[in-house]
Amino acid sequence: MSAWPERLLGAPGRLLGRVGQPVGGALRHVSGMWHLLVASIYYSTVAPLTGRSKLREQLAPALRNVGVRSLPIIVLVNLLTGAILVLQTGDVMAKFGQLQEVPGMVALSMVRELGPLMTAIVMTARIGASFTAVLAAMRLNDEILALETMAIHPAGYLLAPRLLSMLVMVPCLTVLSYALGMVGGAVVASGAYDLSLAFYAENSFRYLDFADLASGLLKAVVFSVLISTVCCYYGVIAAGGPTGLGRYTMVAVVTSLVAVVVADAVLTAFAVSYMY
Amino acid sequence: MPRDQPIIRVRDVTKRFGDVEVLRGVSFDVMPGTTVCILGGSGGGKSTLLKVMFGAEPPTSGQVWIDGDDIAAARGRELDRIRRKFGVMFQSGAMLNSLSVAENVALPLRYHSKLDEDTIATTVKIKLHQVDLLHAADRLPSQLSGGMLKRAAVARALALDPKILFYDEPSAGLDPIATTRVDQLINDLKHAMGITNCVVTHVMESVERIADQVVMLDRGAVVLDGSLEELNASEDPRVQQFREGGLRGPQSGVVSTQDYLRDLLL
Repeated sequence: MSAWPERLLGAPGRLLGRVGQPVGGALRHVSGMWHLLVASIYYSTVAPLTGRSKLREQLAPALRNVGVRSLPIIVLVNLLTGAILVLQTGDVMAKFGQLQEVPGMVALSMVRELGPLMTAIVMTARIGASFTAVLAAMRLNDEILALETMAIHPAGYLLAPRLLSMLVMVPCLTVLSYALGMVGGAVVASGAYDLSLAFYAENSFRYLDFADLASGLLKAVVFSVLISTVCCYYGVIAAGGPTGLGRYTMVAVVTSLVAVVVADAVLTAFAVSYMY
Repeated sequence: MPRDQPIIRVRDVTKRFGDVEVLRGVSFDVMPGTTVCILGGSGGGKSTLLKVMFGAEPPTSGQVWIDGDDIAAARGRELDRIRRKFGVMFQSGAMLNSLSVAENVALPLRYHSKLDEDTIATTVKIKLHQVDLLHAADRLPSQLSGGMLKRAAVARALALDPKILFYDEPSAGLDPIATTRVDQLINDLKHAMGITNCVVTHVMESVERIADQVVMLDRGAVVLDGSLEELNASEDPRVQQFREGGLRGPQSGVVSTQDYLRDLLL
């Protein structure tokens, strides 16, 4: 990649080579992720109809792992997020005599932004990291190669259930996070600012409309695809023994978080321009 | 495929990784119902050759015919069809760690047969009985010893009644008794079921117990393709050294004093 510009162009060529190498590497990874996503979609949709994939048997345990077992940490994180929002803003709002707007502000923040984002961060740490580590261990132990030699496509057996379980469960957990954030906020608001629970509930939905719910769910769907694709990709390309397993898991989590935040910015800009 | 025609034909196979040529014009035939041992020192290209033979690595050039089909040229569904003709036992066993031994053996049956669950369960019991592991059916692979893991991998490879079994270093990491047991299993499969065994190994005791044919590789090229008797009678210094396990010879890696000084000083 870097040899020809260095030879032909001297110092500017060396610079070009230095920039080109990581850009080329990143494009190769993006292309790999794209191929993996397309294969996962094929094995989630077309292949089960033609008998090439036994998706139904693998989906139930994947849904349980991704959804049910994530519940405790999702509950804790989102309850606290709602509570922290009220703690951080309550005094300022009270100073301006706008305490009655706190429930609406918490609801809007949770639905548009914090619910999908906090859920995505938790799912990257809990599920994405485990996707990468499990798949990397399977690759290093030749289990993925063994599946291929048994004419069982790894995209159908390993990736499609993971993608589908994320696509189903992340939006569900995100909707739950809205409620949890509001409950957390309500508990603090009633305890610290004497807002009654009935008043809080009544005012929570004042500013919410369908576009807010739709934009939050759109984010959840995009985040679930990003997390599962990035983390599965780094699992199936892992190399280098136990050290490699750790390194690829770290790279997967970091890449996944960056991808989620970048996608969040793009989707927020889109929602502000066309949806709200 | 007639019994007098080779079931495996390897023709002029080369494999390059960048500038490194790992396999150089490898050619040999394997007859049905025989056991071929692929021998060679570490880094000699035998595991790469095995991967090329079972379609995990495409060759840079050449053909590999498995029961009349060129696996090197096959892709997609055609490759899947050819893969159902053989089973592979990996060095590590490569059992799926999240599934029990019985579920591992049932996996290819669930994907590639129309058998109902009761018939699959019976077939799994038969396969585990063949490798003397029926008592370990419900254990996880992590709960098996090295020898049991390899026999479990053979049971899974046998699930679809393949014509050919590929083995990558079946004796690696096993004690002498477990090694003999795996060798006995390889012989039993050949005699009782007519399976063609293709075994990558560097353990001479195993070779003497199981081999009908020996293919020896040195630096990616075939230096001997013949019977066990031909291996024992060969006067090729590379074959002799491997047979006897001597340190000095063409594959020594022992550096001469002059070369050592040159490496230090230059």
